[in-house]
Amino acid sequence: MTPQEKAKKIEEIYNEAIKKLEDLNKERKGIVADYIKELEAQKINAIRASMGL
Amino acid sequence: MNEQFNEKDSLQKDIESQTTSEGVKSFIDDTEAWGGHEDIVAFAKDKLEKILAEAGKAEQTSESQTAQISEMGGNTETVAEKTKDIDKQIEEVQANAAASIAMVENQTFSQVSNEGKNETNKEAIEKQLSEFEKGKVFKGSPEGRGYIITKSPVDQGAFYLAEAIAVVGEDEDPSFHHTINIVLNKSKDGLIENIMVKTNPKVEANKPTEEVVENNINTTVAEPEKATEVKNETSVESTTVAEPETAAEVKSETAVESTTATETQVESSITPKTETGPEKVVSKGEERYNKISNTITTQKNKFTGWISRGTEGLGKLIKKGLIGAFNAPEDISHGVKVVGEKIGEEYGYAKESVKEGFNFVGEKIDEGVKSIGDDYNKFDKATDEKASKMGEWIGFSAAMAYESSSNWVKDKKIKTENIVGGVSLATETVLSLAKDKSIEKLDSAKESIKKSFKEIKKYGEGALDTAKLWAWYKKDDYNKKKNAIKESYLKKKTEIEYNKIQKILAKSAQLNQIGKKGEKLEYKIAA
Repeated sequence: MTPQEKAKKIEEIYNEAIKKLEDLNKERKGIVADYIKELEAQKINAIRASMGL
Repeated sequence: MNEQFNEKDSLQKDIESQTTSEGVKSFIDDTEAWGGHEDIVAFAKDKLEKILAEAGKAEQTSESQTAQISEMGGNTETVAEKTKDIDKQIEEVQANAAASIAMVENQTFSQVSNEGKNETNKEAIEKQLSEFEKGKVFKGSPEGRGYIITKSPVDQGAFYLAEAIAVVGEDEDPSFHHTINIVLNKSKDGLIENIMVKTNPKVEANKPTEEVVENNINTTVAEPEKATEVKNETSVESTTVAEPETAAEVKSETAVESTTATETQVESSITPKTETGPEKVVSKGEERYNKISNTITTQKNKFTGWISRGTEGLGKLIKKGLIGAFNAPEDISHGVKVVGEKIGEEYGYAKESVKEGFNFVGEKIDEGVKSIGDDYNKFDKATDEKASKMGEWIGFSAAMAYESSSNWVKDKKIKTENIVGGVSLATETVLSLAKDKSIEKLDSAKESIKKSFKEIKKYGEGALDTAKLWAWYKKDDYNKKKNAIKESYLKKKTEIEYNKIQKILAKSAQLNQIGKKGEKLEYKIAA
């Protein structure tokens, strides 16, 4: 394997890893966003309950 | 020396100035400056650092989200719990990339140093093996596999079902006191086969005797003999609901009972055979099997929890009066439809994965054959023997890949990509060695690679156990089930029993008579 081929291989590994990490990052953000929505819903319910609705 | 340093420095700067992958690719293609090992190491190090930085970024919750969570009274522990699977995957990506880059670096090293080159490659292979053992090289680690299996849309479907029911039953009206019979039939695999709701309004002695109104909702259609075989009926007879609190309690008990029954079945069905005696040695495969079994049990318990919640919602619904009970079938049917669709998706996905796995192996083999061909054409006669050896290795790798993946496929309904990924990586190792035209390296790698295949086989055995669990978990033909559910749903939609509606309306009218004085109930009747 020539140095160029090795560099290409490293580049491929790099690109694949970055793509996966970006996807996982998005997925993680989504999970946290859902949790925030959950908390918001809880808060709204608590307010409703305190108002006797 | 100084000139060399300047050249290297300049090369590094040039690489860093490339901001897009296309730019880097073009740089790599064009440059003639690639000289030796150090340049590759610097390049690899740079890429690895960027990967690690990206991973660090991916694992962090943004400041704005953290602030929102804190504002809403949430906590970081819950976030960590919810994101632990993703975080684990992020770590795996990092580890895999680091191992792969290290592998390329080692190959570079062996190229520039004749002394000990076999050892260097051996080390690289051993490193890969060690990663295999840790499960990192597999796209899904042993735990990851369990995760994939248990993250089943069937559970999500059940959740939707429970939600559909709970939403309808949410708006509780304690004006009516009913005698409620809920009969919840579940199959062993936790799917609701039948929910039967009987409402019998509590009538005063001088009122005419009420006839039981029955809504029988078939949620899944099992084959008759199968249904008999697996049916687990949990029946609560004539629970009189006098107070809302009492009602909730009684229903919770119902739920607990049904959950317990299912749990018992789950345990008896999935607990692996264990031998008694102090000398029992738990193999890796068995250990993994147990771990996955436990995870599935947990999921099943969650599932039954959702059903319980749905049942509770249903109880509230009925307590509200017949309006809710009348609307319930449609909502439940919707929930069931969602469950059916999810099952269909899941089954389809599993099949696609098997296919993908095979394609993946196929591509790798094609690559190998092509590589052999390309290299062979360049070889002179003296290299014939070497090429033949390479062919033998590639053939061996391919055969092992097929053997491993076919073991998975035999058991069906399980992803092949993990094991195929592992085998393909081993094949790649052989390929890269083959490309290097170093038969000595192949020979030195022989034992290690054989060992790696043994490991893969071992994982394959674990996978078979997992597959058995999977087969148990989804033992029916889901496509058939999906169609049956669809048909049942459509039938229900198009052939709503007119008589039953009339009966319910009549019942509603009667209930209206016995409702609180001065209160009128509104009947929402679906068009």
